[in-house]
Amino acid sequence: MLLAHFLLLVPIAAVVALVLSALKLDDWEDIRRQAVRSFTAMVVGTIAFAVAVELFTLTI
Amino acid sequence: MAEKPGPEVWAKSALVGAAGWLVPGFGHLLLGRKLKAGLFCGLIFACYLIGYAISGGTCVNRRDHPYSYYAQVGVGSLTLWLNSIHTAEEPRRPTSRQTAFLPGTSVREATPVRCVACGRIEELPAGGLVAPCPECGGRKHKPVRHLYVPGLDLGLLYTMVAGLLNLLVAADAFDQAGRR
Repeated sequence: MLLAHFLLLVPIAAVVALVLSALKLDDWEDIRRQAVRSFTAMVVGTIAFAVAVELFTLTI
Repeated sequence: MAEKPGPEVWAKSALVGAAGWLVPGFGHLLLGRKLKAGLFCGLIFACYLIGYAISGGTCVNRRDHPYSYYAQVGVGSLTLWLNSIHTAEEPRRPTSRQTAFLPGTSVREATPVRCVACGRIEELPAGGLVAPCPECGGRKHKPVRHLYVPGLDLGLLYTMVAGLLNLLVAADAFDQAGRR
């Protein structure tokens, strides 16, 4: 259930990454490259944060 | 020292900003940026409509979700239109003055009520009398303002994100128009 919720949030991360990259840059290739970087950072950061919270919860 | 923009520049910027607010990407289209216009239009409309579909068409309603509405209204035309449809066709929910119903209370208008003891929801017709809960015998009922809709939270999130992103896009169009 948690995974399903997480997966449903992934499209929002993709949209946010693409729109913010397109606001900053003009060339499509630059936009795509920047969006992929931002999207990866968001997903990895969210997973790392979730794992850290879980580990913290387990230790207290 | 840079020159101050004249009134015609302000008018053009305001027009482009308003167009971008009403239809995502339209401001950039007026500035001749077709790639960006298409990208913004497709992404923001897709995000908004997916959220609207996930919630079963219940998430855009100023009366039921007033705070979310202020974020959703970033996608101007669509939100104003959908809100006008939903607030016109749906009956008014119970007012905050009617906080609890005890057996024997008459209901002025058709109202969904929830038994406080067991959580059972019952739709009372207009003019109907509240009776003890048939399942647990509970006497106290409360009006239900928002019937639970699966996917409502997610739909609100998608539409709110789309609305806030479009405000950024419209502000960018306003800014770009002023620099030209």
